[in-house]
Amino acid sequence: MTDGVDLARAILPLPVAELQRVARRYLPDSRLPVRKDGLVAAIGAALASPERLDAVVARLSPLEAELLRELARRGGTADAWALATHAALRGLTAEPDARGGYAFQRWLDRSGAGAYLTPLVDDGLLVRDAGRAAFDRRAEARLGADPRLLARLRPGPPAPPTPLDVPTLDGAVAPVAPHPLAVVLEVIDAAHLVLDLGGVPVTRAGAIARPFVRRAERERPLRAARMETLLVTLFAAGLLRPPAEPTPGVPARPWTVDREALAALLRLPPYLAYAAVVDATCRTNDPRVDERWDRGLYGAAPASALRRAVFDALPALPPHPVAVESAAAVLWSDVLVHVFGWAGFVDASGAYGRQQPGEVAAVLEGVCARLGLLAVGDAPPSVDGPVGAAPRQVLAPALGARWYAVARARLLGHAAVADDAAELGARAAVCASGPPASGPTTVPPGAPDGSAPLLVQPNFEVHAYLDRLDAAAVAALTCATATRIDAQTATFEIDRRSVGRALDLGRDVEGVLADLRAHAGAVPANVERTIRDWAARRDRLRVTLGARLVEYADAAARDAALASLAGARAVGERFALLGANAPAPAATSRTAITTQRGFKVQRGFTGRG
Amino acid sequence: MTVPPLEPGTVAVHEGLALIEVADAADLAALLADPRIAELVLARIGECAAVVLPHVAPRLLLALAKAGHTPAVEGGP
Repeated sequence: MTDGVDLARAILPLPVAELQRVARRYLPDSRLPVRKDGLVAAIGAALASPERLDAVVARLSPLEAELLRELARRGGTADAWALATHAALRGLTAEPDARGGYAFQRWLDRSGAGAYLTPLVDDGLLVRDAGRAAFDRRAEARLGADPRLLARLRPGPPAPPTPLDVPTLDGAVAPVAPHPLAVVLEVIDAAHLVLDLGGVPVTRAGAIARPFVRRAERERPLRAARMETLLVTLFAAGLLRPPAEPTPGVPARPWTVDREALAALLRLPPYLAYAAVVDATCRTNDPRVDERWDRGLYGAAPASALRRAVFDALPALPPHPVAVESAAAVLWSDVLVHVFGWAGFVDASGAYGRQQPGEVAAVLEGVCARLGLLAVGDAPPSVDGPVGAAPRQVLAPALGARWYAVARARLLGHAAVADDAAELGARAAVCASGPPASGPTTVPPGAPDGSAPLLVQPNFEVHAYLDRLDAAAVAALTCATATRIDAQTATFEIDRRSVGRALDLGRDVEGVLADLRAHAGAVPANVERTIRDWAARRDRLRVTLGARLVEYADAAARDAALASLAGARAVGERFALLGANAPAPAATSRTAITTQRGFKVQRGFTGRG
Repeated sequence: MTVPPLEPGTVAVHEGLALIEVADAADLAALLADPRIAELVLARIGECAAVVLPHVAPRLLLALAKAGHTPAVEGGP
């Protein structure tokens, strides 16, 4: 059974008039009770009756049935905008709802999404996640349905999106897009950079500290223009974790890389890792789009909902190159206006609330191109076009769009037999069977036929062929730093710091070398020797962050106390280092202990209160 | 940079410090001879150990990297 929202509990606060509407949907042929408790009991009884629920399902309109089935595929709850987009993409449209209710957020009662979903909410087929969305128009509008109702629906994949009829651009040459794995490698490299720099400092206002951004840009000059976006993507992807609770008077500690989350990303097959990055980017603020969208006519919906809708609509675009403005126009008029538009707003014709915003094209040629979902470039000059006119922008679906569509289908339960991930490329579908630390997880690519995904050079450069990379090969690159990531290849460099990072992440030196050999075929002897030397030197210097030290008056007192401190070890002349989760010594008198989280420098050492 | 002694019978708990440990006393002496690193160290607590204030830890890691050291880093906030 899918998860969902318990309708029987959700209706408890409703007044009688609203309960009567729900009861009419679930008990259309019954004489309804007059009192509230009677209505609640009758609806509860209907929800407990499979026969009653089957009758409700049988009476659903095609639009209602598709919305509920999609909700079931998504596990019982979904974002309202995404749900409405799903219906609009399949040619299912809803009549504008002229009522002025507040079933949705303050503004959404007459939006396209509201027209789709408000009647179902009023009928008790859908249930709002009111706790988060009630009066905050910026909050995600989540919806659910009762799991007992969803369980009575006939399961199955959805119909494919209705193809959008966008005119072909004659003579246009398909432009080039970044490889999806290039997008993944950029994010992983940004996480590695954060590891190297010790974390991301965040200001009180919640922004990344500018000096850190500038330092990161200097470290990765070829990606400097995108560095801030990449860092924000790390937050959105859940790859960074917040510091411990702040201490008054002490500078805030930085956000650090969540090593388990990073390892989990590296274990994913590349097409799923790519989808995770795309989804995270969807939630990442794009100043070129978000500010204008927020201030515009449709700003009641978050800009992330627009990006999500455009990403979901990409499979409906034609496979041939089309003009960006044509694609944006058709995408808006055939799909997005039904979700974000304001039919009947201001003027009776509804034209005002249906006008196309410029942000649709901005998303297509901006984030979609940057993520490799679309290939965008200039169209060749037209012989009959005006002289001196700016070249038209042309777009075509790229490999990323295919990877993303298959990943989304798989994650949302849409996957069909035809969605075999093997179509994505030989390596995209390969999933590491265990964590990278467990050893090489794929068949060694075999150097003789030139199919090795990595090539390690004596000058410590590693060349990666993106089409050949699988999850394990990407994980093997943890010991190297990306210096250049192009459309089809990437160049990495092995240095002391990158090797130290791989060791910090739990790989031992033999594992690092085994990973490289497995995916490169061979590692030059000088590279192998140097990596071993760096590892040996690294073991001579250790830094423990967040250490909890217990200070005693002398070594004898410390040694006497060590036996009672589980997991502790002696450090220095008279200190003991406590284990990560070990409690501070409890046997000592309270007056003798000063537990401090703030440290004032006093007499050359920490103040003791 | 050394630690003044505690009164006999007393104990102090210091939380959140960054602890530097080396394999040999000469290694720590070499580290502290580098002014970029020495200025970040709060106190030397033994022949082979020193401590750094919590908010200075990121600068310490950066300074170590710039000086060509790649320490094994454990723990975190």
